[in-house]
Amino acid sequence: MAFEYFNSEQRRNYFIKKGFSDNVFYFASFFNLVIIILAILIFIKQDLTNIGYGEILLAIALSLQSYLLAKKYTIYHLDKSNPVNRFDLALIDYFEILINEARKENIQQIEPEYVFQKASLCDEGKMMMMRLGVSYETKSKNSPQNFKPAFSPQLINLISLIKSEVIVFEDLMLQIVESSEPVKEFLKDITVSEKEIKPLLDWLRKMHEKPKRSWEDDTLVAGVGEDWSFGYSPVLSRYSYDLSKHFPDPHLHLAVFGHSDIISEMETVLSKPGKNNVLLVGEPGVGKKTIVNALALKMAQGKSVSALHYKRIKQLDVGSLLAGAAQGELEARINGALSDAVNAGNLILYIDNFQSLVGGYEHRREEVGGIDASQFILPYLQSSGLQVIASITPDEYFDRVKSNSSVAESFEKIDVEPANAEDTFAIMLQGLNLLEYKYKTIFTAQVLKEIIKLSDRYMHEVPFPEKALRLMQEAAVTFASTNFVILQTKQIDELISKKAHVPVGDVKEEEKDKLLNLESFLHQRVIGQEDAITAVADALRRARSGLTSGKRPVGVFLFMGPTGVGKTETAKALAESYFGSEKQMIRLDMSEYQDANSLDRLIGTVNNPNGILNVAIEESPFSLILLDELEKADKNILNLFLSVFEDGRMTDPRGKVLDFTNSIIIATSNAGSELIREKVAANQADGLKELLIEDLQQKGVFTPEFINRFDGVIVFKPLTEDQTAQVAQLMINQLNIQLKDKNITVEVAEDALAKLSQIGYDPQFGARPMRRVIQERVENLLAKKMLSGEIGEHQTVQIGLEEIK
Amino acid sequence: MITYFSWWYYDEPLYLWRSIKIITKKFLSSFSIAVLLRTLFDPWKKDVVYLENASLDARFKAMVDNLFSRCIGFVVRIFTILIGLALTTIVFVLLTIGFIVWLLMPAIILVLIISGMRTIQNGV
Repeated sequence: MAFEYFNSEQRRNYFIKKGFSDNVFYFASFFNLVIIILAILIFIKQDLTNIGYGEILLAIALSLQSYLLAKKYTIYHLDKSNPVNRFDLALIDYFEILINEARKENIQQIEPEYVFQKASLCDEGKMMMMRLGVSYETKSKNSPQNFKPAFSPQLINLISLIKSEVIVFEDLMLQIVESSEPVKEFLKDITVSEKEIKPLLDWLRKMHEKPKRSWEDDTLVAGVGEDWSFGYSPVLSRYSYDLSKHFPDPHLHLAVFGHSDIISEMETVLSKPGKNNVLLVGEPGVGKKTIVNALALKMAQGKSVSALHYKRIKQLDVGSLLAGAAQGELEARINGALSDAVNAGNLILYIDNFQSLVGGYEHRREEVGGIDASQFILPYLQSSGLQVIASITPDEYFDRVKSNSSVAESFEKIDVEPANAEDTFAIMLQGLNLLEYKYKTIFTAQVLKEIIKLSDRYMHEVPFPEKALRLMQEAAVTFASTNFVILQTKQIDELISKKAHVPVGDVKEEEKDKLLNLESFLHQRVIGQEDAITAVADALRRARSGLTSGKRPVGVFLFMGPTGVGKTETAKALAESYFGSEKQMIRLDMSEYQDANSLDRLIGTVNNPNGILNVAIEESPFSLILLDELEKADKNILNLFLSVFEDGRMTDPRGKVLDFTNSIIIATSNAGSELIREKVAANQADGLKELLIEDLQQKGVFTPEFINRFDGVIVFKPLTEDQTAQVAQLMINQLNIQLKDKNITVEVAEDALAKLSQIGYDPQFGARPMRRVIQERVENLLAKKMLSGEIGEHQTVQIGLEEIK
Repeated sequence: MITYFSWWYYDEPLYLWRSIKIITKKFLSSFSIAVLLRTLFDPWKKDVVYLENASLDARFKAMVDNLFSRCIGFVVRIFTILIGLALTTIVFVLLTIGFIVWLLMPAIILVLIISGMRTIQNGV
């Protein structure tokens, strides 16, 4: 039987159920029960029974009750070849609304797009549209006309593709999204992809899932006899709590998106004889605790593997175990707690932050509060009497477990990787209702995606899903309202801008002006060097306009030129303009890394991961990294930077990935300065860059592949006389800014300025001596005048040629 | 009518039988019958005394204590098992009777009507 809506049995069923409410059923059943009792009483009275009225009355009452039951619960023996007979009643309800709407709007044929468009006319659709950030459709006020709208072949075709035994609203929507091009286009317009629709509809499905009645639900709870089969654990009870009893609702569904395979792996390890302790290794926030909680719940519900039936997971409270324990007492406590766990016979011990109990390298053991209880724990770990699930971070695993082979071998190591963006989206949806209700803020799919995107880009120190959940929570608290409000993506941009101190989201007017006039902003600090200024300004504009991939650093430049021509000053000006302060600069003097051994100092070692670059980039991922005198660094170090320049990432000796995608990297080099000077002096600056690059490659300073990794190689030319004078004036201006508090202004006469620029310029060091010259000739003079009282507040000091000689 | 009988004799009995199985399983689980049987002879709350290098007298006393612990464990567990099994059996039997009554209901109604009619006819 093909698709047939109007004559379907399920539609008939829908109308029967609609007209026969629960109240009618229960009232009629109660009335009928009275008749049955009466009939039984008559039946018992033999004299009356003899005339047969009891039997007849009972038969009538039982027939009536059968009829009532049938009316309430009968599910027609439906012909499933007609897909409509597989619709649930809520979907038929929506179709009835849809048909009525089509009659009002004189729609002769219902298309899939119409079904999607009018979705908000039912409760499920309202929630879907709310999440999609789409405004609700309202019912037409026209009177319905008397005709039966047809269903388009496309709609019938896509419904017939749905394989579910019972077709619900979410199944239909998913099929429409997958099959209808206009709906796909619509979703594209509202920046929601098919990938996000599925978890969204799954969330919706769970929301509308009716809870099972107790006789339909095969979830088991711990029985009365379990306590009588296993031992006491009085000491352990003081320092632990039962995760299996932690859940207020034993029927709670704790989804662990992307980690269900880890739970299965844990069940396998915990079920097998011998080495059956589990060590979960993952960054804080990847969901290690959630995994253990989900396993505890699964076990409590009797849904785990049979070997884990009747077992419970108890979390060891390491804090209270260690609190106030004197030397010797700690051993007694640990022994007491662990032997209790063994004696009980049904306990699996969960030790979170396992590093707090085991030592490792000597330098770690000497840390304040550092203890090494591995000697007490080890015998228990190696015995078959106790099972342990421990969790630890990868760094601590290297430090404290891997270095202790006995401890490491007692565990089956399971790596817990961060969730991907799709799983994070589903995880966020899971906890959303409570958050929205509490803070009266609505999160649309677009907002959730923005949270995922921005937390991924700007919160590198925390893994998924934690960083997205943290930002979501923060957004809910920050934008909490008394009435429900729908959050906008730009609010998330604002929030992350404040947190990361970098501009995020659409470029605002003020910033737009700044970006468009970036060259003049940079020229307030850097004189000349037009090519360099233009190149970096262009890179910044590209980054802020979203034209960069986000998979490389914001910009990677090589500044080449003699000393004192403004290379470092340009870098500082750039840090100030892009990151808000010139303090956001990580400066590495690469002449300190001339031998291969210095690599350890730069990126650390397995035993000591705190390399200068690692620490700096982890603390300030939004920074300008200045690699001064790069040509002097060891070749191995230069090779290390190849992947940084290309992919914006570097792997440290422990395998941890350092992220440079939010950094601007500027390398400076004095190599080839002589050539630059010669060519500029001979007025042959055309093609200088190419010549310089060729020269450096020939001399083996940089390899071609290294040079090619830069977004731009910029040649800084020696300063002209005029430019040197401008530098001197710039420094006088800076001095005036410093003196602003004292209300003193310094004015240097033109001839004096020319003299200063002449003395402050050195062919070897460029304008570098200028700072010292200004100090000696101008600042010293001012200091004397201020101390002698010759000048005071609100005065302008004129400095002439005579005074600076 | 076909739908009615297919529901009465096919859909609903399947549902009822599944429900009976779940309820019985829940009863057995509530009394932890399986685990109590598995640990039937274990000491009560695993409470035992271990003695090393002790005198014969002390060892004998410990053995008696451990035996006593096992006896207590056995008595409590067997008592719980018996009560649990009895209650589960009662519940299972009642539910099964209900299930059979359900299956026989149309016949019961028919029998009651025929019997009533006959009685009335005979009485008249």
